[in-house]
Amino acid sequence: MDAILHSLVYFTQPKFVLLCGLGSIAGLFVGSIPGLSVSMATALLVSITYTWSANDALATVMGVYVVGVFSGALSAILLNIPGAPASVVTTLDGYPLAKRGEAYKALKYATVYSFVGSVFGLVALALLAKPITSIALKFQPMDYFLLAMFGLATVGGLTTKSFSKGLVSAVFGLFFAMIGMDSVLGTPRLTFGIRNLNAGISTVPALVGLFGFAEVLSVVFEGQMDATVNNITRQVVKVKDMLREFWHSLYYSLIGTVVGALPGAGGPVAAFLAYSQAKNIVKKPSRPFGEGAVEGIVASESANNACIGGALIPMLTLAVPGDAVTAIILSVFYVHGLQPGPMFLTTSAESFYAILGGGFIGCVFLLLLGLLVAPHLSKIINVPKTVLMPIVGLLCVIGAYACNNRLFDVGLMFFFGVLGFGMRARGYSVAPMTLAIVLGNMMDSNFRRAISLASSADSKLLALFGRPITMILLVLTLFSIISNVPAVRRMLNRRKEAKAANE
Amino acid sequence: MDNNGKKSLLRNSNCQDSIFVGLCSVALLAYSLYHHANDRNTGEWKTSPYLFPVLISVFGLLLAVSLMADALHDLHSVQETANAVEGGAKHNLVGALVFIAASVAYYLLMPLLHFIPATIVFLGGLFVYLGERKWWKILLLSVITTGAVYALFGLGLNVRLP
Repeated sequence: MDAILHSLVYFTQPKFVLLCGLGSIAGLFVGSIPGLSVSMATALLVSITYTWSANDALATVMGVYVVGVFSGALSAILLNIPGAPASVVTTLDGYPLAKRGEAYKALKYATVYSFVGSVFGLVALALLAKPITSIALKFQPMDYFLLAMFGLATVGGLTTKSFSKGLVSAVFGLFFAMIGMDSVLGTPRLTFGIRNLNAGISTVPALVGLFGFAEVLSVVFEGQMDATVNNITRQVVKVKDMLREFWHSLYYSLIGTVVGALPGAGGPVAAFLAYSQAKNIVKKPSRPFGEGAVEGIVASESANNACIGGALIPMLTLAVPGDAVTAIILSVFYVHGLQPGPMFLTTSAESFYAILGGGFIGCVFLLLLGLLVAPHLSKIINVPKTVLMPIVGLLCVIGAYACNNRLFDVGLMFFFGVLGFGMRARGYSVAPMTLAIVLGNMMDSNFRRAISLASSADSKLLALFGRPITMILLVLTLFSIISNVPAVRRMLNRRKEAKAANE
Repeated sequence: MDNNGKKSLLRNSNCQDSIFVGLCSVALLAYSLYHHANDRNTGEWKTSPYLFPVLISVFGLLLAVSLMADALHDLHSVQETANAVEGGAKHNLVGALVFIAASVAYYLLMPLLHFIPATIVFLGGLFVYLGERKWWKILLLSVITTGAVYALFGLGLNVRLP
């Protein structure tokens, strides 16, 4: 509760509120325009906020994050194209409702329940961060290594259809993270004589390339430069009717928070889960699900926005990001000299409150922008890609250059952009690679530390895996890997089918 | 496996990826072992900078095997045919390649022409290529965007633009 009270102090700081507001406006546009994404905007923001104070940067990033996740619903409702992957489920009922001439109603429900979900997730973050931190303080190097492995394995399994491809993406990310000066002995490694690589692969150009430039190339490759927008006509939506779904929305928000805290699952999974729950618990929807049921929009939007707070829990307390955006936010922390992890709440309590404060202020902006500005956005959402893509391409070049003022980083950004584009074209997700680039050095140093500590023990295996936390993490990691192996999956499916046939 | 079977296996994307990942992993393994043996500063394996790269290469090899298993499974299932049909959608690969080429040209031209002229040429060229035909719009957008980016990064954030 203390944390929430501390975070509310930020409402009285005009500069903080202003920056958060600017971030929110940027998030509204970025999230609602298909082809631009929150991850892309956050990656570009890292380079813009490079010279700012940590709190100013966090205010802006939180504004973009909170409103950006919500605004994916705008294009989902108006264009039938989700502005963000988390809004895929919103299209199922949002677009049919808009086609019936009730786009305004759909937008209002999406706004109000995105607000409920976001606040729920942030309150959960405020309440759970301390207890989780006290567990995390007992972690040893091997635990951190296994936790990161578990994160990569689940992200790899959930972000692509093929588990092997997800893990290949993660393995290449780990390889890129190894390039540069070794953190333990200080010797250059895998630099192939290129002096600019001695400091390692800068995360900013890599992230801008993987999310920004690759996305631009994908949009050009897919060739869909225009779309048709549904018109919005104002209509009266009674508060009483709208609040009828409030208690259900808390349940969907709980699903969103839990799913968000699991590495890799993120908004799309949370929204799908909540939607399937809504189908079960709502006996008399306003319209059949899939044909414009506002209950479907409520489920999807509460859950995917609650993921924000959920995803921040492991990122802040364990330094293990829950999704691509939190992986990028983690790099914002590193850029500003902050060290998330078990000691974060003790050493950087102010930054923790700033994140919460930024989140809550972002929620207020979400409500304001969603109710007042979003209904007028239909024209802007339809910005022709012929104009948008070159501008985003330019921002990627400048964003990569700005972080170190060197053209080498622009080259790196191109490399990662083309790599990300190629990966998407071949069915690989870039999210596991991002996570691996961010976590690689932590995994390397903890793994070697664990091996060094165990080498002096009598029973090396017991020293490595003998502690209860380590055993739990090892079982979780092995389970997440083995259960996703295609052959095991096929075998389990065959058994299920055989069992169903027998019944 | 007959010749046709081998050909269709090699055409399978999982098989191609498996070979690529396998080769990369072997190269990383060889590199790490060689450097651990020859670099004077590496010390024992437990502290060696090449311990983790060796682990990565082992993961990579296992994944190459897993991708190959996926490829073999694809060969025996109907899924592959469905994917092939699905993959027939029209894409603008040339557009993406032109975008990459334009960006690389911009990267090379920036130090020679300086930021503002190079950016106006880059933006204008891409607007035209992607289908914008109104010359006043192209000119206006190129100049305004360049000015805004210069103001934000060059003047506002003190980035030393080329």
